[in-house]
Amino acid sequence: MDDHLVGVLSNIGMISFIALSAYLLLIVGEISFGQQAFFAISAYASGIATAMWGWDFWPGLAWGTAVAAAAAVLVGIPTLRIRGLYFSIATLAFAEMVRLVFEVFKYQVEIDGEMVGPDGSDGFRDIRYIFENDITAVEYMLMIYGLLAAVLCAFFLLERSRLGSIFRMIGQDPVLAEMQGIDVTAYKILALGLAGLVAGIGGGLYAHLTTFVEPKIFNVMLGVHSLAYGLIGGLGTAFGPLIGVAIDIGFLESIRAISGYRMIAFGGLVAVLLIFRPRGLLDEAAVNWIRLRLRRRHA
Amino acid sequence: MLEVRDLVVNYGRIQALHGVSLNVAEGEIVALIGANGAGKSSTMNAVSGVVRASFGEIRLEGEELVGHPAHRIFRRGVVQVPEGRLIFANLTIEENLRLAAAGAHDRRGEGEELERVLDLFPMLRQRLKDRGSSLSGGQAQMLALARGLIAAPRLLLLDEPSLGLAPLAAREVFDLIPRLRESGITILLVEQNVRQALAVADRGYVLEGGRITLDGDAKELLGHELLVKSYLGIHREEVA
Repeated sequence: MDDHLVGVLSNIGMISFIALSAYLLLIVGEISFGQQAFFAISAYASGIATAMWGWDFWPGLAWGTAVAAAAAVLVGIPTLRIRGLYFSIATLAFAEMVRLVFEVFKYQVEIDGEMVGPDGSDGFRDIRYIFENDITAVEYMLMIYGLLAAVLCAFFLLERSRLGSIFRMIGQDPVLAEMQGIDVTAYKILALGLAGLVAGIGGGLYAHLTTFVEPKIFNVMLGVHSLAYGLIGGLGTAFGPLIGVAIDIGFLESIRAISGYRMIAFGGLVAVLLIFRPRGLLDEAAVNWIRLRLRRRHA
Repeated sequence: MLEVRDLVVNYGRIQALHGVSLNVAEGEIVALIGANGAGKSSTMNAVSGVVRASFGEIRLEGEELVGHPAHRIFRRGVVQVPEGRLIFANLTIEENLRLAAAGAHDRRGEGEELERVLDLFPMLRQRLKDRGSSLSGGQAQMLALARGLIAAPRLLLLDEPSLGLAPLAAREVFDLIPRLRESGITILLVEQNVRQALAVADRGYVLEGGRITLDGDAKELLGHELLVKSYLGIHREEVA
């Protein structure tokens, strides 16, 4: 398979995790501009585990993901008591704080005569696990998509479960949900933890594919994009954000002729969709329509 | 059963309630009537915990409710059916009902309560898999009521249950209220349709500008001069 295609597909797969993470919070009615923080935390934590502590890839990824989820819960406890715009601003501030911490975070050890580990604004180099273990780009891409499939299955189970319905109840009307005996704050903290976990999987995968992470990658634009993917693709199903990622990275970025105008096209697309389809291409009504058609065809 | 003493509710600098006191005895239907902005919904919302009381006491069978979040008050058996036929439009009717039951019962109890409520509202049984958004105004009100009842409330707070309904649907709602009391539910009813509210209630309170200005037996209130002039807009002879 063509290297460029493998690169684009791997990128779509990894970014899909952060898009799903932002989508989960949109379902509970919260707009987070800060999911890149959990992506970054896991990228650093899993990179430290494999490159510095000598862990295998899977325990390293699990560690990074767990740290990201724990950070999300800790952030959620104070910030979810504030709602709406204030919550969005708080997540943005937190993400910028995390980025600035990584700008000064230095933790290096000597391995085979070379210093390895995060070096402040110079970033964290030599996260070389997949290359040292002869995992090819195609194999790694398949690992990314295997994990993405597992996460998507978990989302579909969630959406058909009582927990998924509670999340949608809260997203539609948190006051009414509270009136029905739902502890809205507790469920939102749970959603934030799960969203942190999903972003964390993407961050860990990203660090090991690129072998190098630096704080400026995890800037606010990554957060804005992750949010926009759900709004473009639709909030009716977990496939929605994946369609958003595929349109942005798969279509706009991969067509080299327009790649220079990608941000203009992307911004325009978001604006048009917010006007004509405020809950995205695959919104709840579209998903219902598709389900009804499928049911009729099977009947 | 419910005792409200000197209740004060503020929205920022605006004081909505100025020391409201009222009682609801077990098994009673009590109507809270008044014009728009009189403080009826604020009183309801303070009892259900949706709005925080700035001052005063709200006791359910002697237990203080002030300071508890709405979901905990719900679990104590105080269930509010809010104004405006609020339902979860994106969820199916079954999901609307089951989730309301889940807040109050275990899974076994949930199934039994669902059957009980569907017997009360047979129209909903035929449409369990339909989305809330597909219901008409009257049907949505029935779902909102069913959702309140599935939680097996001890005290049901009905906020403007007939608002915006066609006369036939409004009549169905008012026919249902005495049947709910017969099943052991205590009801605090907020309603702009003063005549119908007092017709089903045992007692009533009149709220004006965030203060209780009149209270008493529902039948007596229905003939009270002030009420006739202010709210019924009809002559005494017509009331009689």
